Amino acid sequence: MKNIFIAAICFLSTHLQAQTGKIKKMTSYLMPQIALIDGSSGTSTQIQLAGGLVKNNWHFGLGAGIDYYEMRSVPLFTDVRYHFGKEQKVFTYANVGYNFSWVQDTRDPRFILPPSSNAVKQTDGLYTDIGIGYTIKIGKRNSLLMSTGFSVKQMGEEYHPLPFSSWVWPSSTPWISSESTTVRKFDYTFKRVCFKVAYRLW
Amino acid sequence: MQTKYLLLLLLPFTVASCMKDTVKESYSFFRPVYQTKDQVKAGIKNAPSVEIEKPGKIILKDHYLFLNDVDKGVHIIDIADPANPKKISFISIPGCVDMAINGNYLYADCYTDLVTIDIANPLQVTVKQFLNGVFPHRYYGAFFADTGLVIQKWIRVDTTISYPYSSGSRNYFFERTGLFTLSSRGGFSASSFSGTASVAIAGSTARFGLQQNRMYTVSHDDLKVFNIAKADAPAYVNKVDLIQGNIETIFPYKNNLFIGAQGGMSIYSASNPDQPSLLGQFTHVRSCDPVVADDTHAYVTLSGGSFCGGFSNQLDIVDIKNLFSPKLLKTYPLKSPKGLSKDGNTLLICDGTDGLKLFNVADPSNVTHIKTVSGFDPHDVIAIQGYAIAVASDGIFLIDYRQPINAEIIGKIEVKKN
Repeated sequence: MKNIFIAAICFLSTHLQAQTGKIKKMTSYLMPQIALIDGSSGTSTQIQLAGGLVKNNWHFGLGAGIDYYEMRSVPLFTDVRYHFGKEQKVFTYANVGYNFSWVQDTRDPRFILPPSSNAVKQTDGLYTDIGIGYTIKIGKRNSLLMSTGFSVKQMGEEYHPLPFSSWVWPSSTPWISSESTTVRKFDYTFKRVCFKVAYRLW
Repeated sequence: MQTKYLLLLLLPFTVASCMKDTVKESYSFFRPVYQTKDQVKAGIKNAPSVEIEKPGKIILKDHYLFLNDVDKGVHIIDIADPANPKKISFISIPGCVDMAINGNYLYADCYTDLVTIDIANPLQVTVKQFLNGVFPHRYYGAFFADTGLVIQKWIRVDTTISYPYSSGSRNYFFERTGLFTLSSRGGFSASSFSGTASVAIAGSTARFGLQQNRMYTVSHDDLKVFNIAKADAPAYVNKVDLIQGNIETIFPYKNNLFIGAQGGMSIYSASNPDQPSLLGQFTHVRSCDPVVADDTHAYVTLSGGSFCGGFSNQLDIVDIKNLFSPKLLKTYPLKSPKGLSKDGNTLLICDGTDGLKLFNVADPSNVTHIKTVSGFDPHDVIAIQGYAIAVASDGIFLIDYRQPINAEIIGKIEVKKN
């Protein structure tokens, strides 16, 4: 899944780059944005930078950011937008991509048996965000974009128990036997509402 | 108009609480299968050789290797031809992790009991005696063995469950701060095996030891004494509380008992065989530490970085000329040492994934490395007359070190792959 997504991004990026020189009417956009995210686990924040090309009412781009909701992650996503009408004030957007885990502390504090750390591996997952928004023009090229959307972030954890294979005190009791230890997997699905404010630089 | 749009954008926040974060958890648990003790006893008998599943302690008697399969029983392996070892029989002893051999009798733990088995004919063994409840320290996690039932095996059950996610119930810790906080939630073929042991020799991780018609066993914090003058009917004599806890191994040598614990090595005198008494103690950082000894020195491997605790990985050579005051002579760094065995001036050490290391210890203050036999991860070894039998999780290895510099693996018995 991760590899397919990365390949898709590379393709899109190359494709857009190739197109830039051919289509004269196409312009580009770049906008940093900050988001307030709210879900059943609380409220958090997100910062992103998205940019790409504009053709008529369509925006096609790529984005990346940092998502602090529950498990910190770095979403890397495609950004597609459609601005309605001639004034292009109201718009809708869709982000689809991949969340890369960026969790700092992987220690499991519950286990005090030496050594105290047990291997915990975070796994990456899908990132989606769809929503609608409104554009407020500021000056000739810049604008403020406010949007609200529904975002899903999927991540996971794999807990690898430290082998407790005792060659001194052998036992077939599962929690002691290394052969019996099992990986414990947690797949999290975080569903959030997000409110974003973006400033379009150009 | 603009304000109206902006207010509309905030509307979805009113339904945010309706959305629930979820977790899908996949894990396995183990369900015990119980037997009565009578069923267990009835099950102790010869069986055709079976695959080795989890190799544990080893004892060499004559040209037979007795290999414990943890909690299952004892394999009897004929190593008369070390290049072609043969499993000849299996004695099913549920709950067996430790054993000793006295003449034609095998003493083995069977959960909390001690069973005596006549092994004069390894193909036709007979149970001679049961001593009930002499090893109360044997436990199975939250289940204690003195209920009249024992756990015969565990069945693995794979499970996936889904449930609402909440920060508080999450199993693992990670930072959850935002930009700002808004809320917190071998090649050699030997025609015959010269390394036979007329008197049984156990590996250095043994927890049963024989001396002067006594069998000494160690639990986590005590020493038990059994009188084996009547070899087919051991009698429980006494329990001696030890000066240290977390006892791991016992190595009887001459009139003394060298007891390895996670915190050090203790030397007990067995002058009074029924009431061993402390002579001296050598303490070290916490680690696993099998010990072997000769007349003047004790060789202690410290293994850290695992369940043993500590982080030291070394060989400590302890001067025991004065048993009342053992002194560290020298320390040699190792990778992850476990069991060891000494044969003359050759010391063999199981050193983790490095394999089996051979050292010349003619001069204990200047130990020299001879050779490493690599390619396996042994945890215990018996060395005798130029042959070594090393136990690893993936096999039992027979090594010819008659010429230590040319030591090599000459035979292997496979272990069942998980």
